[in-house]
Amino acid sequence: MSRILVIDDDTELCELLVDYLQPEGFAVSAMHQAQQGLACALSGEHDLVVLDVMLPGMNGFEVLRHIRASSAVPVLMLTARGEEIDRIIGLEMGADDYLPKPFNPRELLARIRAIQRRSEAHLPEDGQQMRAEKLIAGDICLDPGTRSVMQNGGNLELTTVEFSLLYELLKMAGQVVSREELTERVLDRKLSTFDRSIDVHVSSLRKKLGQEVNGRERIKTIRGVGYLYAQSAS
Amino acid sequence: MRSLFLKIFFSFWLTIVLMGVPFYFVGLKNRPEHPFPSMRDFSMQAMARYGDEALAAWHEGGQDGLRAYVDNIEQRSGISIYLFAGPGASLCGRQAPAEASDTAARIMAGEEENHPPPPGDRWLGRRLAQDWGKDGQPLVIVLKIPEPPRPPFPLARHTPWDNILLYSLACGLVCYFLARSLTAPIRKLREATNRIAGGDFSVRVAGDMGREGNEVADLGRDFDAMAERIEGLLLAQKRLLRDISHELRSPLARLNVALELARQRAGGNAAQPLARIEKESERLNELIGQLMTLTILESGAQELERDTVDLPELLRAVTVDADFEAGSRNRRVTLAAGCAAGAVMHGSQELLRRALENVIRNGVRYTRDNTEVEISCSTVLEGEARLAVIAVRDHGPGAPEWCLRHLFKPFFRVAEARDRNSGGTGIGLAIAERAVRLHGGNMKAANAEGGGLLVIITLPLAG
Repeated sequence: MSRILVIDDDTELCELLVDYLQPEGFAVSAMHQAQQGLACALSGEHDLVVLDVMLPGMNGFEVLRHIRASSAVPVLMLTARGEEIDRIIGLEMGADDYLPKPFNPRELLARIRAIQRRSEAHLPEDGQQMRAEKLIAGDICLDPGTRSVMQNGGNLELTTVEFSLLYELLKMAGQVVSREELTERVLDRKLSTFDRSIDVHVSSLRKKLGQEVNGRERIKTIRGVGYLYAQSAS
Repeated sequence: MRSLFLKIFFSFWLTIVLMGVPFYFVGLKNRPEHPFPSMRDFSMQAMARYGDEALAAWHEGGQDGLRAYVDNIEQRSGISIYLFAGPGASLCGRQAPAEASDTAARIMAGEEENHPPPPGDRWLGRRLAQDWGKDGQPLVIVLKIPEPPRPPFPLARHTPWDNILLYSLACGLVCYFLARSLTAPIRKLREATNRIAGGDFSVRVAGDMGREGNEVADLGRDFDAMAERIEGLLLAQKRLLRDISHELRSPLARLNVALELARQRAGGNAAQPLARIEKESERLNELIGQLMTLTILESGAQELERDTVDLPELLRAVTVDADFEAGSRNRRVTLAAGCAAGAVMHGSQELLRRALENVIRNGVRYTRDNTEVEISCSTVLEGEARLAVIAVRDHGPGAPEWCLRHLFKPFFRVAEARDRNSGGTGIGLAIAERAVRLHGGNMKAANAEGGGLLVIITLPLAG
């Protein structure tokens, strides 16, 4: 049973969501104030946070920033439709996914399940072969078993999306991975036109890892195709 | 001479110069030839005294005595004294300068009484006695006044024309600053107006317009009040739009969830009406979004993002999407091969995408089943500018000629052919047209040969 926290000031919508998500196997608790919601999100009792951007008191981005300062709990942002900039900001700040409001509840369910699969996908009990192989490329060492990434011996904090993305890229290091493949494997959905989520995630991954490795571009953009992680020199 | 600055400058300058110069000449003409009669008397008396003293010296010491006296006076005051008894007969016993003897000759001839020397003449003279000495010659004293000290500033030394030139230049300078002080606030106002037209409503001018009581400064203050009001209104409008969007969409969000709940619980019985509710709710949502976009575009308050947009790539992406959608209705969307490569422009990717999408979707809506919406894109040179021309043609009923130019008006519908059942919101083309215009392009509709609507979008390319 997954525990979901919904932070949204629309109490009626929250009630409906509780009703809708419960039969699908989720325990939903709702918070209507940014401050309380933040405290709740940081309590560590939830597996996923659904966060509305428009909140009274504190902006949803602010809440996200505070959450990301100390927690890697998956966050799905609800953005205002037509505010593309909101989505990009949200993703850049470490949101796992976004959904424009008003959303189709089935879409919300699908996104929640996708995030859920993602955070469970690399857990040790999921498959042996994952536990077996650590992925090493240059200065990066990714251990799917412990879900940890080391860079030059130091631990690196990545969100679940960034972790999955790095995993997919490292698995294919030296080869081009298309944006379609990445979107499907990492975000668990088909790439639609103008879905720039994967690019935003790649860019925040670049920021965390550093732009270059051994004097070469770490994650190279292959225009019109996808991305390529630099082959390690060894 | 269209500029206000030049007008003010030249009219003031010309007026002053045209009035000043004649006055100057009139003044020059009417100047009394000997400005100070008392001065003349004074100089006559002084000459008489010099004459008496010189004669006394002559009587006392003869030629040497006179010379000592003359040297003494010359040393003390710089005035040279010559005494003549008869034409050319200098009493000093030495050669007098030619001017001295000329002046003496003139005086002896009696000319001086009728024609006093012009002012500024350095040679003066006076008759001291008519019959003097044994020979009964006229005795005349001639003075050479030392060169007057040069005037300290150059103006007085020049000819009238130099003076007029200097005068005109000085007037010009004053007029220049006058004209500038009059037009500078206007120029500032104009700059501010331009910035407001460009969407920057924070501009204020009162600080630069001078002190209170000045009409232009008052205008500046009124301008500021206006700008503040507009800024306030726009802010209020933006906030209102955001609020409306939020307030209209919150119920929609709830409706959607409630709808899914109903679906969960009703089983298959109500599937059809529920699907209809979902569709209408989506349509409503779409309409809200489009209306907001249109309002923002109309107000012109949108700060246009300046991405680099690859038009052919954008077209391809939109075509693929639209083709996919149209496929479910047995219609197709095709992009002509050889679509202008490298047609890059600056603008908002999002807005351009929406514009193209709206036009293409409109085509898909009206084209007949089993026909295609054809899209082509080419570049043309118009003068210096490179333009992209995108043509979208459907195979539908087209539109009557009279309403072609109304097609881009919000909610305009061709009564019989383009009815509400076609499913559009009625503002898709309006949005497209405004978005294109915002990018400096234009959009036209025509009936294609052989039927169907042809929409032609022209957009300026970068570089």
